[in-house]
Amino acid sequence: MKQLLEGNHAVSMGVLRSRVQVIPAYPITPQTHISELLAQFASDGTMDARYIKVESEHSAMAACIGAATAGARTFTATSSQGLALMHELLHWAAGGRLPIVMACVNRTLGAPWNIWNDQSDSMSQRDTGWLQFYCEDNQDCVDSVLLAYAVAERVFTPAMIILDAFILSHTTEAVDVPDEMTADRFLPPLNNPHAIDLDSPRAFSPVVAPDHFTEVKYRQFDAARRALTVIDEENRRFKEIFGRSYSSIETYRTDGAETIIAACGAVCGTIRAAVDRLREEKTPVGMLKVRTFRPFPSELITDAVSGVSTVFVLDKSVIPGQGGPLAQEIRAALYDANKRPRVIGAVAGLGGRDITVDLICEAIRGLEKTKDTPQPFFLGMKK
Amino acid sequence: MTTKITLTQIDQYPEVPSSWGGMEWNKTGSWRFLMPVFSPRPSPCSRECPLQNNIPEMMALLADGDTAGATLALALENPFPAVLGRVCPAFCTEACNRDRFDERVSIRAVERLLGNEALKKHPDLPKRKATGKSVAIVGSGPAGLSTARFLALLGYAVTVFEREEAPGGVLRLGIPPYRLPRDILDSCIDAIRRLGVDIRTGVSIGTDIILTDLEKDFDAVFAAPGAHRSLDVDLGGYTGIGVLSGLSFLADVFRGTIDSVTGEYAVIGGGNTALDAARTILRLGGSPHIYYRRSRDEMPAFTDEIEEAREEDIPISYLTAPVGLTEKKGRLAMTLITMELGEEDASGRRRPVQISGSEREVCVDRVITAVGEAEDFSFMGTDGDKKDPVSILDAEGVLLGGDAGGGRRTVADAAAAGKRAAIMIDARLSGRPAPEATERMTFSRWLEERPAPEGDPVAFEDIQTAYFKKSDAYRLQKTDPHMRSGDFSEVTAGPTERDAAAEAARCFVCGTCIDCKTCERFCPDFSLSIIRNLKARGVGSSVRVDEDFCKGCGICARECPRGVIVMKTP
Repeated sequence: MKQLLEGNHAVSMGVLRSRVQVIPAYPITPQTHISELLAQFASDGTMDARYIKVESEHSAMAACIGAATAGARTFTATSSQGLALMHELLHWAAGGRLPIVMACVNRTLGAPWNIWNDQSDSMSQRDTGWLQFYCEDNQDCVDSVLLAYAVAERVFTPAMIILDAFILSHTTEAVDVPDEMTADRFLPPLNNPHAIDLDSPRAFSPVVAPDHFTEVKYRQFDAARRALTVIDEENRRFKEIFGRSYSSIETYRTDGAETIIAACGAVCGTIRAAVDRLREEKTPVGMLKVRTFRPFPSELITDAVSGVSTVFVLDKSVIPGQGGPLAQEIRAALYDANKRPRVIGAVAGLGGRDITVDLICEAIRGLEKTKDTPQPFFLGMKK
Repeated sequence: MTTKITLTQIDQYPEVPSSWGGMEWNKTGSWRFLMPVFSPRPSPCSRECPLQNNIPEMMALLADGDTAGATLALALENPFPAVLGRVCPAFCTEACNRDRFDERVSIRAVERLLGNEALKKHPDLPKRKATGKSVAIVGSGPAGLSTARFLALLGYAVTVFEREEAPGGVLRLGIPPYRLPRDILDSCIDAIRRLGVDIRTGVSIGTDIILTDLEKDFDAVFAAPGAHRSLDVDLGGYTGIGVLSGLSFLADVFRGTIDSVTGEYAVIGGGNTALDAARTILRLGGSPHIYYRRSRDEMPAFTDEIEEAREEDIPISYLTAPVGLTEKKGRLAMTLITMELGEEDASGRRRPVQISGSEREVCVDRVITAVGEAEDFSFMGTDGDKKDPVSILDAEGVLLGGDAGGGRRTVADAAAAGKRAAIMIDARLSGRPAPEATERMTFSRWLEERPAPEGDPVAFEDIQTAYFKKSDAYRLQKTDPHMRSGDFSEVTAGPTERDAAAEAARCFVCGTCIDCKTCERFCPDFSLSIIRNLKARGVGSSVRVDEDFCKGCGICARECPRGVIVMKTP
């Protein structure tokens, strides 16, 4: 049944349908609506879940780790500084191989202070070992929760679903919320064989000395790599049940394209409109949406863009001293390709500045001019 | 499990990092440069208590519902807690660490409840078997009774000689019943008699029996004659009638010789005797007025007595001293002078100095003097009049204690002197080395032949206050000042057992392990274990540290709510 839902509440509905059992959460703008609705669900009996009020995001993730170790399906949500505060425990959850799902509502990281959207928070946690899925719209938000659990619980790796602040989180769209029975069919109750078993006591994430540490880390690395196959398998199953599909990458009007615009998240909706306009102007341009950023689908991306002359990467965050993280990853993936397109890195939309169709079209029209521009260039920046 | 698991291939590793093996191979003790040491220490309250009452243990037991155990813990060190729970100035509470948290614990109120309990159900005190030796005690005041009681527990045949018709000394003849009801006092004395102590009243040593005979007939003699001689006040050379000492006035009232008074009474002095005399006069029908030559701050009487006298509307003129007294038309004309405080004197108080020209006259019916008391050595016969009677007693091996023994004159100090005398006599008669004067030997430790408690008292900084909730202290109920001043009924009431247990639960239990298990729960290496004291509901438990695995992180010492674990260099 379709409902009008803001992106945050779409996430909450996904959590409801995933029959999550433990929700430790700490409020932060722009995430708060997610946990508020879940707190209400837990208190009024809509959900059979334990909502834990904690004193910080660090504690929220610590509580998730405890609950997940005990075998409970566990969820939390955060943004920006809250995610940064969790950093240590993000490693611990991933290293402990706990299938926690967390929503990160993208908000920039201070300083300076700013509550608006960009992707610097989630991108700065890209090396913690979590799976990362960037949502394009509110339907994506509800569906991604179910998909994230399906994948995380097979590869025993935590997953972050990421949605852009305000653009999705506080904006209402018509969303088809799966009914309970269908959702249950896709995502049965969690029965984690690696959870605490009182009959078989063991130490979790104990001290592992140098003689074993490499092997333990290799298993984690291997699981994350295998996740790409599992994502694909779960996406097929999802499509069979719900008719909607979320593959790790998606292309739009790339047939015959000479330039492909690559990006993550809600800005892909804007890029689609820009591609349509540029195609009307006979500019051969297409779009590459990178939905799964971790594990990074290098081969899929190489296959999708290796024939074009230019990949124009739009990053909504910047690594000082390096550049945009998506551009960096795409460049690295293409290094081994037979035909390497030119990769142009653009940084835009920092701290909530709008990325408009006009801005993207102008950039593509002026591509020739950017040939000698230092990388990345800051799109739309005041002169 | 200590078996070593060998993994040689990648697929032998579990999917998630976990181990069915033990962690015993990882002897984290090798990382240590500091070591937690289980260090039970004195609490500041016990340290300040003249009797060294085991307040932490008593509080912990009572809070845990073990009223009988708490009563026993208290009675082991305290010869008459029902008395001291009423008349002690509570040095313990002055030192209470809770002062810097919310309010000090009302230790005396708890002591009072437990004292009443001890009279209802006599605690099963440890008693040594008879030694066959005998001790004579001169005086049945708090020091004499205390010595008798502890010596009886140590197996001695004790005879107490009291010149008055009823035992109790200052407890009976000095402290009014509204502060210490006589049924309570009688029960406390009965409890001591039940231990086999023979109290012979109406026998005056020095007159009926001479001291040297006592020394012949008994293996040891302890003298606690008290300080019953009132110091004189210079009233301009007046020697006529109408002037009484506060002590003899109170004694006459409590012996029953005086049962009513009329007219206006000037009471000279600022100690408890002055306050007691004034309040007694009020209750007998007279009008008292207290004159004190210093200010309220220097007044030596207990704060609550001053407060209660004020509630009873007894006028107190501070910085006022009498300088003359004459008879005038069947009454007394007293000349008063205003004083001001000058330099500090030997007692550390500012010396009052007369302001010349400030003289004035008041008319009264009687004058009560209560400016201090001196020791009474009349039990020594003519020796008592000699220049240094104490050295004569010393030479004869007679122990002296109580108010006559020097030091602070409170019932608690007298009882403590009695307990110490009992230990010293036992040491002498049993040939055991006596504790040093500086050792704070407790009775239970002496009985169990353990050394005196050591270490500095637990400071507020050693308490982990996160484990405690703030709360108000218990306050005794007081009867209406105008109702109570008509008779000698007790001024204060309470607490109930429930009130006392609630107050006991406020106690930090500084320095005593109560098996709270906080250290066990927090130790990241599971290397602390509590050895539970089974006898006393875990109170007095000890903590064992596993040196193989304790890495010296100090969390246990940090988290211990009551400062029992201390980090030390190994």
